[in-house]
Amino acid sequence: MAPSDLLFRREAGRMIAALTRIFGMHNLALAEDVVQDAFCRAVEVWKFRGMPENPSAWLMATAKNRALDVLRRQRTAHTFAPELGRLLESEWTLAPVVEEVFAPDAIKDDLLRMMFSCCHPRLAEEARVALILHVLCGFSVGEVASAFMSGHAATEKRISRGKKVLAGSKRLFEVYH
Amino acid sequence: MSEFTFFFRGRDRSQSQDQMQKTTQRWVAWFKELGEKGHIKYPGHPLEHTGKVVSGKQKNVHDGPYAEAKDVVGGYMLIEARDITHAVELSKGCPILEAGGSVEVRPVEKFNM
Repeated sequence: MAPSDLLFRREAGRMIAALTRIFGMHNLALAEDVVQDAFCRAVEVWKFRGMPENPSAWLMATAKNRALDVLRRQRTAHTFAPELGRLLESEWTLAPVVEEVFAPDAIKDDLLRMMFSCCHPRLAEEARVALILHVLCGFSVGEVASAFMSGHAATEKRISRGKKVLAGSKRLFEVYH
Repeated sequence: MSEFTFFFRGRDRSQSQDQMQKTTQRWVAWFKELGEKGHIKYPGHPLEHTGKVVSGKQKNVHDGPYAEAKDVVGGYMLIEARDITHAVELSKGCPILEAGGSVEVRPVEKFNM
Protein backbone atom coordinates (compact mmCIF):
# COMPACT_ATOMS: atom_id res chain seq x y z
CA MET A 1 0.00 0.00 0.00
CA ALA A 2 1.31 3.46 -0.91
CA PRO A 3 2.16 5.73 2.03
CA SER A 4 -0.47 8.20 0.86
CA ASP A 5 -3.15 5.47 1.10
CA LEU A 6 -2.33 4.92 4.75
CA LEU A 7 -2.43 8.65 5.34
CA PHE A 8 -5.77 9.00 3.57
CA ARG A 9 -7.24 6.22 5.68
CA ARG A 10 -6.09 7.90 8.85
CA GLU A 11 -7.22 11.37 7.90
CA ALA A 12 -10.55 10.60 6.21
CA GLY A 13 -12.47 10.14 9.45
CA ARG A 14 -11.07 13.28 11.04
CA MET A 15 -11.92 15.30 7.95
CA ILE A 16 -15.45 13.86 7.75
CA ALA A 17 -15.95 14.62 11.44
CA ALA A 18 -14.92 18.26 11.11
CA LEU A 19 -16.84 18.75 7.87
CA THR A 20 -20.10 17.29 9.14
CA ARG A 21 -19.76 19.57 12.14
CA ILE A 22 -19.79 22.51 9.74
CA PHE A 23 -22.14 21.28 7.04
CA GLY A 24 -24.53 19.44 9.35
CA MET A 25 -25.19 15.72 9.46
CA HIS A 26 -27.79 15.99 6.70
CA ASN A 27 -24.94 17.00 4.38
CA LEU A 28 -22.84 13.91 5.07
CA ALA A 29 -22.62 13.21 1.32
CA LEU A 30 -21.29 16.72 0.71
CA ALA A 31 -18.68 16.20 3.43
CA GLU A 32 -17.61 12.98 1.73
CA ASP A 33 -17.33 14.79 -1.60
CA VAL A 34 -15.09 17.44 -0.07
CA VAL A 35 -12.84 14.75 1.42
CA GLN A 36 -12.60 12.94 -1.92
CA ASP A 37 -11.84 16.23 -3.58
CA ALA A 38 -9.02 16.97 -1.11
CA PHE A 39 -7.53 13.51 -1.70
CA CYS A 40 -7.64 13.96 -5.47
CA ARG A 41 -5.94 17.32 -5.18
CA ALA A 42 -3.30 15.82 -2.91
CA VAL A 43 -2.51 13.07 -5.44
CA GLU A 44 -2.26 15.62 -8.23
CA VAL A 45 -0.15 18.17 -6.40
CA TRP A 46 2.10 15.72 -4.57
CA LYS A 47 2.89 13.88 -7.80
CA PHE A 48 4.75 16.96 -8.99
CA ARG A 49 5.91 18.66 -5.84
CA GLY A 50 6.41 15.65 -3.63
CA MET A 51 4.70 15.06 -0.34
CA PRO A 52 4.70 18.15 1.91
CA GLU A 53 6.43 18.14 5.26
CA ASN A 54 3.19 17.77 7.17
CA PRO A 55 0.79 15.98 4.82
CA SER A 56 -1.99 15.74 7.44
CA ALA A 57 -1.98 19.49 7.92
CA TRP A 58 -1.94 19.96 4.15
CA LEU A 59 -5.03 17.77 3.75
CA MET A 60 -6.86 19.52 6.59
CA ALA A 61 -6.06 22.95 5.17
CA THR A 62 -7.27 21.86 1.74
CA ALA A 63 -10.51 20.47 3.16
CA LYS A 64 -10.98 23.63 5.19
CA ASN A 65 -10.52 25.92 2.19
CA ARG A 66 -12.82 23.80 0.11
CA ALA A 67 -15.42 23.97 2.90
CA LEU A 68 -15.15 27.77 2.91
CA ASP A 69 -15.71 27.79 -0.87
CA VAL A 70 -18.78 25.59 -0.56
CA LEU A 71 -20.23 27.66 2.28
CA ARG A 72 -19.69 30.93 0.46
CA ARG A 73 -21.25 29.66 -2.73
CA GLN A 74 -24.20 27.82 -1.22
CA ARG A 75 -25.02 29.59 2.01
CA THR A 76 -28.05 31.39 0.60
CA ALA A 77 -29.50 28.26 -0.99
CA HIS A 78 -28.63 25.63 1.64
CA THR A 79 -28.91 25.21 5.34
CA PHE A 80 -25.82 23.92 7.04
CA ALA A 81 -25.12 22.94 10.64
CA PRO A 82 -28.08 24.16 12.73
CA GLU A 83 -25.81 24.47 15.78
CA LEU A 84 -23.62 27.03 14.01
CA GLY A 85 -26.62 28.70 12.48
CA ARG A 86 -26.07 32.21 11.36
CA LEU A 87 -22.38 32.30 12.15
CA LEU A 88 -21.71 30.74 8.74
CA GLU A 89 -23.85 33.30 6.92
CA SER A 90 -21.55 36.23 7.39
CA GLU A 91 -17.93 37.03 6.63
CA TRP A 92 -17.72 38.55 10.10
CA THR A 93 -17.75 35.09 11.61
CA LEU A 94 -17.39 32.47 8.84
CA ALA A 95 -13.61 32.03 8.71
CA PRO A 96 -12.94 32.15 12.49
CA VAL A 97 -15.75 29.67 13.20
CA VAL A 98 -14.51 27.24 10.54
CA GLU A 99 -10.98 27.69 11.88
CA GLU A 100 -12.21 26.77 15.36
CA VAL A 101 -13.88 23.59 14.12
CA PHE A 102 -10.67 22.51 12.37
CA ALA A 103 -8.47 23.07 15.43
CA PRO A 104 -6.84 19.73 16.39
CA ASP A 105 -8.54 19.50 19.80
CA ALA A 106 -11.93 20.28 18.33
CA ILE A 107 -11.46 17.55 15.72
CA LYS A 108 -10.86 14.97 18.43
CA ASP A 109 -14.22 15.86 19.98
CA ASP A 110 -15.88 15.82 16.58
CA LEU A 111 -14.55 12.37 15.83
CA LEU A 112 -15.93 11.07 19.12
CA ARG A 113 -19.22 12.79 18.48
CA MET A 114 -19.42 11.21 15.03
CA MET A 115 -18.78 7.77 16.52
CA PHE A 116 -21.64 8.24 18.97
CA SER A 117 -23.79 9.57 16.15
CA CYS A 118 -23.06 6.42 14.14
CA CYS A 119 -24.61 4.44 17.01
CA HIS A 120 -28.02 5.80 16.08
CA PRO A 121 -30.81 3.84 17.85
CA ARG A 122 -32.42 3.07 14.50
CA LEU A 123 -29.34 1.16 13.36
CA ALA A 124 -28.50 -2.46 14.12
CA GLU A 125 -25.19 -3.10 15.82
CA GLU A 126 -23.55 -4.46 12.65
CA ALA A 127 -24.57 -1.34 10.78
CA ARG A 128 -23.15 0.91 13.53
CA VAL A 129 -19.81 -0.88 13.51
CA ALA A 130 -19.70 -0.99 9.72
CA LEU A 131 -20.36 2.76 9.54
CA ILE A 132 -17.69 3.60 12.10
CA LEU A 133 -15.13 1.40 10.33
CA HIS A 134 -15.94 2.70 6.88
CA VAL A 135 -16.77 6.38 7.40
CA LEU A 136 -14.49 7.18 10.35
CA CYS A 137 -11.67 4.64 10.30
CA GLY A 138 -10.97 4.58 6.58
CA PHE A 139 -11.64 0.88 5.92
CA SER A 140 -12.93 0.04 2.46
CA VAL A 141 -16.28 -1.67 1.91
CA GLY A 142 -14.41 -4.86 0.95
CA GLU A 143 -12.42 -4.85 4.19
CA VAL A 144 -15.50 -4.24 6.31
CA ALA A 145 -17.28 -7.06 4.43
CA SER A 146 -14.51 -9.55 5.12
CA ALA A 147 -14.36 -8.53 8.79
CA PHE A 148 -18.04 -9.41 9.08
CA MET A 149 -17.62 -12.41 6.77
CA SER A 150 -20.48 -11.10 4.69
CA GLY A 151 -20.83 -10.24 1.02
CA HIS A 152 -19.57 -7.07 -0.58
CA ALA A 153 -22.97 -6.06 -1.97
CA ALA A 154 -24.75 -6.68 1.33
CA THR A 155 -22.16 -4.63 3.23
CA GLU A 156 -22.34 -1.83 0.72
CA LYS A 157 -26.10 -1.75 1.10
CA ARG A 158 -25.83 -1.79 4.89
CA ILE A 159 -23.41 1.15 4.84
CA SER A 160 -25.40 3.25 2.41
CA ARG A 161 -28.61 2.58 4.34
CA GLY A 162 -26.77 3.56 7.51
CA LYS A 163 -25.58 6.81 5.93
CA LYS A 164 -29.15 7.65 5.01
CA VAL A 165 -30.27 7.15 8.60
CA LEU A 166 -27.41 9.37 9.78
CA ALA A 167 -28.22 12.05 7.21
CA GLY A 168 -31.85 11.95 8.30
CA SER A 169 -30.96 12.31 11.97
CA LYS A 170 -30.50 16.06 11.52
CA ARG A 171 -28.47 16.64 14.64
CA LEU A 172 -25.15 15.32 15.76
CA PHE A 173 -24.83 13.60 19.07
CA GLU A 174 -23.45 16.28 21.41
CA VAL A 175 -20.35 15.78 23.50
CA TYR A 176 -20.36 18.00 26.56
CA HIS A 177 -17.35 18.93 28.60
CA MET B 1 -39.50 45.11 17.27
CA SER B 2 -37.91 47.54 14.83
CA GLU B 3 -34.98 47.20 12.50
CA PHE B 4 -31.72 49.07 12.81
CA THR B 5 -28.53 49.06 10.83
CA PHE B 6 -25.16 49.17 12.53
CA PHE B 7 -22.36 50.76 10.52
CA PHE B 8 -18.94 50.00 11.87
CA ARG B 9 -16.15 52.50 11.43
CA GLY B 10 -12.49 52.55 12.31
CA ARG B 11 -11.57 48.88 11.94
CA ASP B 12 -7.93 48.44 12.81
CA ARG B 13 -6.23 46.87 9.81
CA SER B 14 -2.67 47.06 11.06
CA GLN B 15 -2.97 44.30 13.62
CA SER B 16 -0.55 41.43 13.96
CA GLN B 17 -1.78 37.92 13.22
CA ASP B 18 -2.12 37.30 16.94
CA GLN B 19 -4.12 40.43 17.68
CA MET B 20 -6.24 39.80 14.63
CA GLN B 21 -7.17 36.37 15.95
CA LYS B 22 -8.17 37.82 19.30
CA THR B 23 -10.25 40.49 17.59
CA THR B 24 -12.10 37.98 15.42
CA GLN B 25 -12.78 35.83 18.47
CA ARG B 26 -14.37 38.85 20.15
CA TRP B 27 -16.52 39.44 17.10
CA VAL B 28 -17.63 35.82 17.05
CA ALA B 29 -18.52 36.01 20.76
CA TRP B 30 -20.51 39.18 20.20
CA PHE B 31 -22.35 37.69 17.20
CA LYS B 32 -23.16 34.57 19.21
CA GLU B 33 -24.57 36.66 22.02
CA LEU B 34 -26.72 38.81 19.71
CA GLY B 35 -27.79 35.76 17.72
CA GLU B 36 -28.84 33.77 20.79
CA LYS B 37 -31.04 36.64 21.91
CA GLY B 38 -32.59 36.80 18.44
CA HIS B 39 -31.36 40.29 17.60
CA ILE B 40 -29.64 39.54 14.30
CA LYS B 41 -31.92 40.25 11.37
CA TYR B 42 -29.12 39.91 8.84
CA PRO B 43 -25.50 39.50 9.92
CA GLY B 44 -24.08 41.58 7.05
CA HIS B 45 -20.40 41.48 6.17
CA PRO B 46 -17.14 43.29 6.79
CA LEU B 47 -16.11 45.45 3.84
CA GLU B 48 -12.79 45.98 2.14
CA HIS B 49 -11.16 49.30 2.71
CA THR B 50 -11.43 50.66 -0.82
CA GLY B 51 -13.68 50.43 -3.83
CA LYS B 52 -15.18 52.81 -6.35
CA VAL B 53 -17.57 55.71 -6.01
CA VAL B 54 -19.98 56.41 -8.86
CA SER B 55 -21.57 59.84 -8.80
CA GLY B 56 -23.74 62.33 -10.64
CA LYS B 57 -25.64 62.26 -13.87
CA GLN B 58 -22.33 61.85 -15.65
CA LYS B 59 -21.85 58.65 -13.65
CA ASN B 60 -18.29 59.59 -12.87
CA VAL B 61 -16.25 56.80 -11.40
CA HIS B 62 -13.61 57.51 -8.78
CA ASP B 63 -11.52 55.45 -6.48
CA GLY B 64 -13.14 55.75 -3.12
CA PRO B 65 -14.26 56.31 -0.49
CA TYR B 66 -12.48 59.63 0.12
CA ALA B 67 -12.98 59.64 3.85
CA GLU B 68 -10.18 59.27 6.34
CA ALA B 69 -9.43 55.75 7.50
CA LYS B 70 -11.34 56.16 10.74
CA ASP B 71 -14.43 57.40 8.87
CA VAL B 72 -14.61 54.63 6.30
CA VAL B 73 -17.43 52.17 6.84
CA GLY B 74 -15.73 48.87 7.59
CA GLY B 75 -18.84 46.73 7.69
CA TYR B 76 -22.53 46.56 8.52
CA MET B 77 -25.23 44.41 10.02
CA LEU B 78 -28.97 44.56 10.45
CA ILE B 79 -30.45 44.04 13.89
CA GLU B 80 -33.81 43.94 15.59
CA ALA B 81 -34.44 45.90 18.75
CA ARG B 82 -37.35 47.43 20.66
CA ASP B 83 -36.33 51.01 19.99
CA ILE B 84 -33.26 53.13 19.35
CA THR B 85 -32.27 53.15 23.02
CA HIS B 86 -32.30 49.36 23.02
CA ALA B 87 -30.35 49.25 19.73
CA VAL B 88 -27.74 51.61 21.15
CA GLU B 89 -27.47 49.42 24.23
CA LEU B 90 -26.87 46.39 22.00
CA SER B 91 -24.21 48.21 20.01
CA LYS B 92 -22.15 48.77 23.15
CA GLY B 93 -20.95 45.18 23.08
CA CYS B 94 -19.26 45.69 19.72
CA PRO B 95 -15.52 44.89 19.85
CA ILE B 96 -14.75 47.76 17.49
CA LEU B 97 -15.32 50.19 20.36
CA GLU B 98 -12.42 48.63 22.29
CA ALA B 99 -10.17 49.43 19.32
CA GLY B 100 -11.19 53.08 19.17
CA GLY B 101 -13.75 52.63 16.40
CA SER B 102 -17.41 53.60 16.33
CA VAL B 103 -20.83 52.14 15.66
CA GLU B 104 -23.44 54.24 13.92
CA VAL B 105 -26.96 53.12 14.77
CA ARG B 106 -29.57 53.98 12.15
CA PRO B 107 -33.24 53.01 12.19
CA VAL B 108 -34.44 51.49 8.93
CA GLU B 109 -36.80 53.94 7.30
CA LYS B 110 -40.12 52.53 6.19
CA PHE B 111 -41.92 54.22 3.34
CA ASN B 112 -45.66 54.13 3.66
CA MET B 113 -47.31 54.93 0.39
